[in-house]
Amino acid sequence: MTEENTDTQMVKLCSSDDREFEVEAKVAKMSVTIRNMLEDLGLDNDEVPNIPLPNVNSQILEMVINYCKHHKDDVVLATDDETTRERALEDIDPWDQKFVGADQGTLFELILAANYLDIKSLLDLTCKTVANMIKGKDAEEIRKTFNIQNDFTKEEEEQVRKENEWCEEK
Amino acid sequence: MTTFEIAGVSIPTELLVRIFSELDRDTLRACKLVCKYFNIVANDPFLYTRLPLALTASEVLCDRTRSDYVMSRLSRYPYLEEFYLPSGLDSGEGLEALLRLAPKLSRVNLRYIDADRWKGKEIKHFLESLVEVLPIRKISVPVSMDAYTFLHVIDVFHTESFIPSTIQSESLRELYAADTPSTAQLLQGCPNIQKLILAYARLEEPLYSDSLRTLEVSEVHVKDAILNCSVLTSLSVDFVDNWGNLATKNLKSLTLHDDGDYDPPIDLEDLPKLQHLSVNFITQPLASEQLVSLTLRQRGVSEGLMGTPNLKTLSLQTSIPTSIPAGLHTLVLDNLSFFPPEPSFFDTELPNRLHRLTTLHYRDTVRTVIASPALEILRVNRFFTHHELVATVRACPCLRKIYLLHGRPWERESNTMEAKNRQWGDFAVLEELPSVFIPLDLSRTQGPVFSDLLLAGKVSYFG
Repeated sequence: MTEENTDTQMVKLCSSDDREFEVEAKVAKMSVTIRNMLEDLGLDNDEVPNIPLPNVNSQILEMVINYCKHHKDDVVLATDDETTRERALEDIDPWDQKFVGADQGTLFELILAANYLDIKSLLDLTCKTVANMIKGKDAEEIRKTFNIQNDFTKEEEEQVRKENEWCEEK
Repeated sequence: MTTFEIAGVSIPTELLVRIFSELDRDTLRACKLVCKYFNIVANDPFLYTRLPLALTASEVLCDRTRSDYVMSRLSRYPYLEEFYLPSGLDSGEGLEALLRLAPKLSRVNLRYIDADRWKGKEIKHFLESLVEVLPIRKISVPVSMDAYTFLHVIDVFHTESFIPSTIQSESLRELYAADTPSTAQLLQGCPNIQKLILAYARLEEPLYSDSLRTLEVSEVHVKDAILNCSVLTSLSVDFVDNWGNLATKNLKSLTLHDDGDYDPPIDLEDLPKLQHLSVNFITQPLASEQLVSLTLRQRGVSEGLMGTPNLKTLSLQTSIPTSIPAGLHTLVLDNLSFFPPEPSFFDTELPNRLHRLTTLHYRDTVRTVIASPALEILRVNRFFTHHELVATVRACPCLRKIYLLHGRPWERESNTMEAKNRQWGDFAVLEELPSVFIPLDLSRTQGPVFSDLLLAGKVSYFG
């Protein structure tokens, strides 16, 4: 069987809440986790393989699939970590911006899913989006952004401030 | 705790580190203050080993080959904010294109380049092309170069030569230079300047400024020199012939540097807000409720420091005074070859007299065990042998961080790798500490022996 055929073949992805999504193998294989599973299964018959994804619910899985469909024809740049990082941080394309524009809960669930499914470009996108939400803010603003309680005592907070000043000196 | 809940979702630590790796240095600092968990994550060594925000002098002060190495690294760090140009370069050719790959670069330092090899014009041209495309806010230039044409766009200007008093800049916030003909005129031309450091300047006319907060000059020879600087709170000066010259009620920080045999006529009653004082020596007794930090560089107050009950930070290049306020948090001991403390100071007096001490800098080799009940941060040059290190870790129950500034203890008797490894094996005690900081060069020569600690997240390197 040629590479082309394996890519047009369909696979079934099954979410944690038991919904099935049928997608092209090429789309599914953007996830390194799924690609490895498919390789382990061996795609040498006509049966549509069924991949259980117990860590991803249907709402998030559907979003991930949409993301992969949109990006399935992207030219894959060098996968080396250092090189990908060179791309400027602000370069988030408009489709992607809209994609990650949902609420915080969804965004963090997408991060977990991208990590579990091992989709590097989606992990980059979602992490950058969160980073952009806090960039340039001070501690209090960051607490507000994520509704985090300050659990430092006054003395501890002062200590961290002092350490920050030391770093500044260097 | 290995996960943290945000918006109802549990995020594993490694993913928070991944998110933080997208942040700049200032935001990372802010993150450390958000909550305890963020503080731990934002201190993850991964964030600092992978993403240098500055390539600095120690990395670039080298020959041509090394310059090539630095330049090859430059292209790998798109988040770079500060760059010291390598000394080995002949021109900025090629570098300009590379620096454009670091779109966040805001501080460039050219002080280490060989300006004769570059020829003045080329440097200026190079800077012009950078200022055009990058958000440059801070420039440091070599002695022989004037770069005043850039003053209208930058916040911070750093040179070691003289500058004309006629420069004008609305944007300038900080200026470092050797001297200028008229400091008063300079302040008029730069109405927003907050920090002015003129290492050789003599003040002979009073200054007027509503923006200046920090001033450093060499000598003050005029009455009421700073009376009309409404927000000036920090002053550093080498010599002042008359105390009245410094009349102002606002000073919070005062440094007197004169190294002659000169007892400054300090009267703390004239400085009701003074919190930080740094002098070479002082013979009169100090009395101040406000004073929280004191540096003595040559001779101490013989009576001790009971007149300053709220002192929190004491930095000494002299012998240790007979009495020190018990509330002291930070003690810096320097110049110890002239004034070595008695060994009993560390194991008897520290726990008894200074039981609130949280930070100790000891700029020498530690030859004894340090026992201190509240000590959290310890910076030393090195320990004499690993025995003192191990015993110190055990004798300071609150210790969180050790900085080994010059690296490992003297290990004179052991030259074989095997012996070294065995001795480092005893450092397992360091696993009881959250973090140990060792110099980068040690990591190159002794890397393997730290690998276990590194994997456990205990060891960080610093440059």
